[in-house]
Amino acid sequence: MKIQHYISAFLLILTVSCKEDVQPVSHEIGFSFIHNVGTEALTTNTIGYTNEAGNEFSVETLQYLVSNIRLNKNDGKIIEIEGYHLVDIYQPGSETFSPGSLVEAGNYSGISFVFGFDEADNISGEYPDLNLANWNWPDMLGGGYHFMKLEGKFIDEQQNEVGYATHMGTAREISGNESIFHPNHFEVTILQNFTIDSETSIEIKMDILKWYKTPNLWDLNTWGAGIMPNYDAQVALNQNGQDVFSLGDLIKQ
Amino acid sequence: MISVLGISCGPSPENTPDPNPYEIQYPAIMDQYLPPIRIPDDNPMTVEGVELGEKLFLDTRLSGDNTMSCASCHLPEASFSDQAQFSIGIDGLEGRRNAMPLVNLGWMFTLLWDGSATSLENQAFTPVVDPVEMHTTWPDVEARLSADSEYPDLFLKAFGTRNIDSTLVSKAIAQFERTLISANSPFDKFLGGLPNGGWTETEWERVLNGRDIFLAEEKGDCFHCHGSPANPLWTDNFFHNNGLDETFDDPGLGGVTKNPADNGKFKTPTLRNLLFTAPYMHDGRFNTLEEVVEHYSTGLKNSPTIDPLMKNVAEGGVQLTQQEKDDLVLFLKSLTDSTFLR
Repeated sequence: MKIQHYISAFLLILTVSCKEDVQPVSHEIGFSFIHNVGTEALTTNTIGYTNEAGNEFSVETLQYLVSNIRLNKNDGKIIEIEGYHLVDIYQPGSETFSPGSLVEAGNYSGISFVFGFDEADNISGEYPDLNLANWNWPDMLGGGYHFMKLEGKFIDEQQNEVGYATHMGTAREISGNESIFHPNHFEVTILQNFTIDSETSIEIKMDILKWYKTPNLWDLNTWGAGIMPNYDAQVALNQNGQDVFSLGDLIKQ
Repeated sequence: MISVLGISCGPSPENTPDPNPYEIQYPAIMDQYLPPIRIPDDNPMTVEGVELGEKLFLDTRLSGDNTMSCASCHLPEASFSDQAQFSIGIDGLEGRRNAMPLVNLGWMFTLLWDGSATSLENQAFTPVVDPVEMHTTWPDVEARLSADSEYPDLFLKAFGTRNIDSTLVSKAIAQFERTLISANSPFDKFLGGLPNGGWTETEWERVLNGRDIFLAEEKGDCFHCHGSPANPLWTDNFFHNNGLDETFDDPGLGGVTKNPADNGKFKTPTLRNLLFTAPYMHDGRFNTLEEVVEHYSTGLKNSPTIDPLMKNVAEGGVQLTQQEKDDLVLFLKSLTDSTFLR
């Protein structure tokens, strides 16, 4: 009988300690960035796309910065992935981001991230790898870093092929003799149910046409080159960028 | 038996102390803004390796007739560049591009005007055998160095072997090249807190105006390719067609990638030490900084691969005023590090 008690007590302790040791199952996740122009996959260097304003254009450069990715679980828990990632269509490997994070298995309701850096992170000269990548935004415009460089050529009103450079970063407003710097990042939130039950790569898709579509119809004849110091253009980019991203497939390993 | 096996199984292990690790002394401005230099795992920097690399860099026995060294076209007194438009090889033949300065190479993730070298170690192989440069063969170089009274011992100290081969020669030269760090210009000193970078207040007002023109997208817009105060390499390490020609005798990057979209693109050179590195551009076509700035202001030529960042191409460029051009040139001169010269 005594022995039975001991065995029961031992089993109880074992059960309790097992319960304490139980860790949620987690899986490594990564992200891949997919770039489309409307329904077509992006191809570079050929004028073959038409934006909402009717500008025929090409894409030669696409680089952008995302930071503070968060995954939202159905149970309300938020999984934060620290850091930032610079996507560059010409840098091998940069279109995938493997932060090495282990994420709890389960059902998720969506994903969010910051396009660019938020005010707290957007500090001039702070990130050596971004300095080396020449990603800085001039201090005279508020400093910090570029959020995006989208460049190419378009056919202008005189039917000439000319360059455009859609660069985004801190928005400088001139008021009298004073410069007022407005943070210009935005938070992308994509509500879509998905399940993490194995090592997974999450596709994040950008539709380039949407940068030029709504709510501000963007004509490259008006805002082709030299838009960095243009406050209205920077604000319009912020507004137009809100819907450029969507979730693609989840690639299970 | 074991001893016999040991001897017969390969090169005899030579009993020599390990070389001493070389610690790179990063100038404050580099330490603040840039990541540490990436050193290849198979070529760690050592004191002995760097010393050997410098000796090899200066040694004319790396050329077919013992008249040219690396330093013949990368003159230490010219920020390791050539002041001739095109370097002349041992047979009197002319190259087709201006020799690039060797400055802060450890951070350069692209090399040469056309990006054809994938690493410093890889780059060092080419000029030795190029018929228009040093025009010899690696077996000849290896034989000459092996017959020298000092080199076998120096290779032993640096790499643990007296067997000299081209791979070790290139590794040593690459180690030396990674030590060529320049970051002591008036503008560096200004960023470090020295008032006016040591220049007069009047001069420095113009330098700062030039800097603003350099950074303003609606003015010079130089920084998108040439760096900024937080990128003290003063290059983006990428390739651009900067509107020099309408057609290309030299395809540049396109000759390497075989992609027509890359024709006419060349690596952005650093702006450090420009006072010593004339002439300018990949073909050395401009002799002065004033000519360079004028090119971007009024001299651009259109072509299918011209960089989208080149503005007002139809009008020839960004149309700076004379004062703006003068101040921009003065700013460029403030990036000169005279202490780097040897």
